[in-house]
Amino acid sequence: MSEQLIQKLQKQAEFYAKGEMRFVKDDVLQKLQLSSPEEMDSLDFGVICVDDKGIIKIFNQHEADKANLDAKSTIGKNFFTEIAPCTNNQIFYGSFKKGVEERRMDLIFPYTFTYKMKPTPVKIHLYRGPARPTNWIFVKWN
Amino acid sequence: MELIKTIDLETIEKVLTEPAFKEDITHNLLSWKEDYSVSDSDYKDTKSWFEKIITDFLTLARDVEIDSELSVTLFTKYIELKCYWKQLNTQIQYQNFKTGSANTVLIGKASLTTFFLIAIEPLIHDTDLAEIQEFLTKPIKEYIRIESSIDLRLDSDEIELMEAQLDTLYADKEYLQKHIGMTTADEIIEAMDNLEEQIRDLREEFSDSVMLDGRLSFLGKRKITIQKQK
Repeated sequence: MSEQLIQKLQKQAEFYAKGEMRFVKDDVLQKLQLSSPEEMDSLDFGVICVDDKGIIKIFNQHEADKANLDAKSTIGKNFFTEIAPCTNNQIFYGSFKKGVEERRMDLIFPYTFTYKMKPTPVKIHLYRGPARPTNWIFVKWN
Repeated sequence: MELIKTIDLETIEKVLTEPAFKEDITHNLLSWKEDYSVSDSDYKDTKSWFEKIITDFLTLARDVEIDSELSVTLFTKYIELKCYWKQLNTQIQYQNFKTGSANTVLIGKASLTTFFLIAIEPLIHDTDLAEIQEFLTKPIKEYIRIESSIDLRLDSDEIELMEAQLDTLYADKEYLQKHIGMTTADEIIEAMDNLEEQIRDLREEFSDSVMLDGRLSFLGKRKITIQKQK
């Protein structure tokens, strides 16, 4: 994909991130690093924490329930290739990769899950704070 | 271990015609129709489209008599539909991203396609499924692998560069030790300051001197002390 198109996608996602599509409150984002597993499980949206290569470190219960997965079994697997192959495109993985390269990301975009489930529109929020090398994927299931 | 599960026609017919499978499809279609406000004609067309995929495959399976051939046919059908779903998924996400919504018929077809995959997956070996998955995620895996190797290469280059710099620094140090008997910056700066001071002294000392007939004569008021060597 051309650099121009990546920039276009990123601008669009940055625009979404500043608007009504934002579903993770700032105070939740601030506290996320220090949240206990129980606190993360109690959130009403999916929380997935991955390293720079996409290896899953945290997979909260809400996401596991919605995606019909066992949360524990996802730990250590690659999110983009093993758990959610529908994310294998430039919109999702490309945005993530660019965010990792730039050491920051705050992107939101609409997405539709269709793999082995009834069609489900969701909102995706890719986030990486400036201070810590931790990548978050938030999923708001409608 | 057998590489491809041997499947007979009866098993294929069973999984694609059993009530539970049909119920799942009906439920999926109705949810889709309701959630996405699908028109009656789109609903009808999509339902027919999916039923035709099933009947066409069953016709194909019935034409093939040999079980091992059936297994390969099933295997290739799985790949075909998974690739088709992958294309639909990409198209849907781009439509979503550009306009905030995607073509509802494509969404319905993508989801239904995966229900066919769910039905026939148990008839395919886990190792084969893993291989197909590996193959279909190849571009992204390659991407990750290349990035990793680039990272490693950069690290390796950086280490090599740092080692070369270290070698040069040690060589310079040995050279300084050999020729001026000192190696640290502080020692060298101190020595330079000392030399500059001596030069200033000498200039001052010879400021009133002249050369006459190749001999140095002092015209000023400087007293010269000659010290005998012991």
